[in-house]
Amino acid sequence: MQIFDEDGQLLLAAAFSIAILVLVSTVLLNSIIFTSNIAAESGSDTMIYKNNNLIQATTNAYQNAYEHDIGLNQTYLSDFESNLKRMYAQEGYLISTRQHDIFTPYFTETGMPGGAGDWIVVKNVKTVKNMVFEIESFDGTDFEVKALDSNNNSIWSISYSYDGSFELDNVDESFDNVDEIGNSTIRLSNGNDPSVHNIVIRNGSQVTGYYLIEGTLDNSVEYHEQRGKMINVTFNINSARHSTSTTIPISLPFNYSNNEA
Amino acid sequence: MKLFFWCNNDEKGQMHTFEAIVAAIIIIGGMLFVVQATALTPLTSSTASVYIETQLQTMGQDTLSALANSKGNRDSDLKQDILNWDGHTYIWSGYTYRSASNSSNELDMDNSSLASAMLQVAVPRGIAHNIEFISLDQNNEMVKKVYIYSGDPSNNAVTISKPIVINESDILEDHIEEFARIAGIENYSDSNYYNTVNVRLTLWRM
Repeated sequence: MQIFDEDGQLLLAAAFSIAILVLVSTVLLNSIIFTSNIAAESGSDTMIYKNNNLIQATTNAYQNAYEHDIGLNQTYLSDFESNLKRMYAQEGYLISTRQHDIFTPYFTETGMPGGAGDWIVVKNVKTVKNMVFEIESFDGTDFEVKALDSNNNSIWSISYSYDGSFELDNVDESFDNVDEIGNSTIRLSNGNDPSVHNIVIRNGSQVTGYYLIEGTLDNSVEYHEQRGKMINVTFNINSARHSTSTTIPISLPFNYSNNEA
Repeated sequence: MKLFFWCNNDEKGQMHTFEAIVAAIIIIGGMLFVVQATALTPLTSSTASVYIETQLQTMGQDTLSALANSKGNRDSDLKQDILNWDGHTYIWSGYTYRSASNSSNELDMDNSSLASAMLQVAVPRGIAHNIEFISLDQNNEMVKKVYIYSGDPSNNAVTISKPIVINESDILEDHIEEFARIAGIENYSDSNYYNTVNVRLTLWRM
């Protein structure tokens, strides 16, 4: 068989060509995998965190701007929103908020009409310093606030019955001061029951009004639970990549002071 | 058998041309590879560093969210850190945070939840951290004050921020002007609203 010099050269050149093709395809595949990984990691987008920050800051601002019987301090809110808009604009976000009407909350867990009517207001209560319940509207279903010990036995309870008056069970014995104002407001202070208990609400979904409970938990931490009014606020956040609109209910404080007791 | 029957002496030129093209591609490819190659250091951006950035981002968000939670009727730890700040920039010295302007001034860990949190989550993992308080002055200009400084961040550093609303009623009445002077956070409003401080945390691998 005749051997040509060019055969070896051609085989070598073909081998180089194949090697280059393999190299190029490997690099391309690597780039594709890298790019897809980058795309996957971009799922950890900070928009949700930004949204939560905005909700938290705005909730704080509305709660601080609200005064019971006076309403929202619009100068406070205007300055707050102006500041927030400028601050977020520096990070490439356009912020706007819109207030809805203030309304009286239901005695549900969320304060909204569709919220859970049977719920625990405070867990592991050691002492109750002050407690106020003010009923605004009532549809006739029995509404009840009660303290339950660890075995779910009632320590004291306050019922608001169909005839529009409070019925107290062991309340006078459990609190130093009990003050009923008209048929719709009850104020209690200096709870003296030593057992650790939960304070629960039953049938809160058909009753609207305000509440405040404050005192000390079993772990010596002070608690302060209250809900005076509520307002829905709509947030719009726009950036180059995203646009979101969220409406959240904000609980406004009762602003009850000890002097009122 | 003549395998490449078409390749006779007259066509050697074509063969050499083909060889030359392949050789050129190899040389150019080699040069491109050398030019594009970069030294791999711990701070070089890569798929792995993107993953680490995501972890740092989550860690920073969780830390700030936890500190921004208020318990009962009390201010959040983050707000207390801002209100208690003495205006000094603190630098990690190996076992504590010391003032950049006065090394004998140590940051009181009991009065700084941010420093305590960094000591627990960032320092043991070798994560460098800068903490800044950013607010607007009365002319709507951005004012940046450095609380903790660990140097200039690397290219794969992550930044997390948390806005904290400060009210006039959060500060003792006769200390409002002093707070503005020391912390460099001005009173933005005539109402009870004082200012919003954006707590900015920058984290990166050392």
